Amino acid sequence: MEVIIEKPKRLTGLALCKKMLSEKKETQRQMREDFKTNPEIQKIIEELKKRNEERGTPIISL
Amino acid sequence: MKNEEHQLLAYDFSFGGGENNSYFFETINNIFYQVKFKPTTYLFGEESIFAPLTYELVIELIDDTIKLPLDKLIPYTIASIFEDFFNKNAYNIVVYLYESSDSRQDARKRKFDSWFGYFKERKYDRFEVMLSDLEGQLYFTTMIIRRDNPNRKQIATNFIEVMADHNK
Repeated sequence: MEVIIEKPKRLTGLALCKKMLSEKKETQRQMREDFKTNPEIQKIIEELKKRNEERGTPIISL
Repeated sequence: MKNEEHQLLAYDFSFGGGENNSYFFETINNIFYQVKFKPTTYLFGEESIFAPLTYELVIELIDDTIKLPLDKLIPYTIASIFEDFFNKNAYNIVVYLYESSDSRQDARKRKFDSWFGYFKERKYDRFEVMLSDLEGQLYFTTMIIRRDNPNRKQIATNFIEVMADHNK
């Protein structure tokens, strides 16, 4: 007997947009949380702050 | 991005790397933003050759205790970060998504258009799709690729096919 394995259907259209949007909101929440609690992120922020303070401004010329 | 006639100013940024390709910058008002290019393998399906090159752009004001003033340097900064990301791999595919649930879609679109408009060299193509659900909520999805991407037509066709497929 032939066994047919059906591949899971790929999300498309609205279902895809809704999944992406839901994940985006969770990602944004996690980004805000990491800013407050993640030591790796805080280290990057501190180094950036220090660099900006040494320059006297965060603004650069492109 | 360089322009010989006008000096373009932006905020300095740091590339934090990681799985989500994180960038950080601080504004003149000491507000911090994070920009992520998050791998999004399921947009074209995990078996697609484009899956490992597809990223979702997420921009967030990470210091959410501060009220946001208007800042004209942010669009230049986002554009500059965007260029840096594509300089790492010119074949990258970036998608940006927003919706109308809180009625701020026009402001989001203006912001998005503002930084996209700062690319001085016309080396990017942008494809936009708007979908609505039964409740009337709108979903806007934009895909950006480099114009010199050799798979440009196939990527654009796949994107439209995926987005236009409402019934599956």
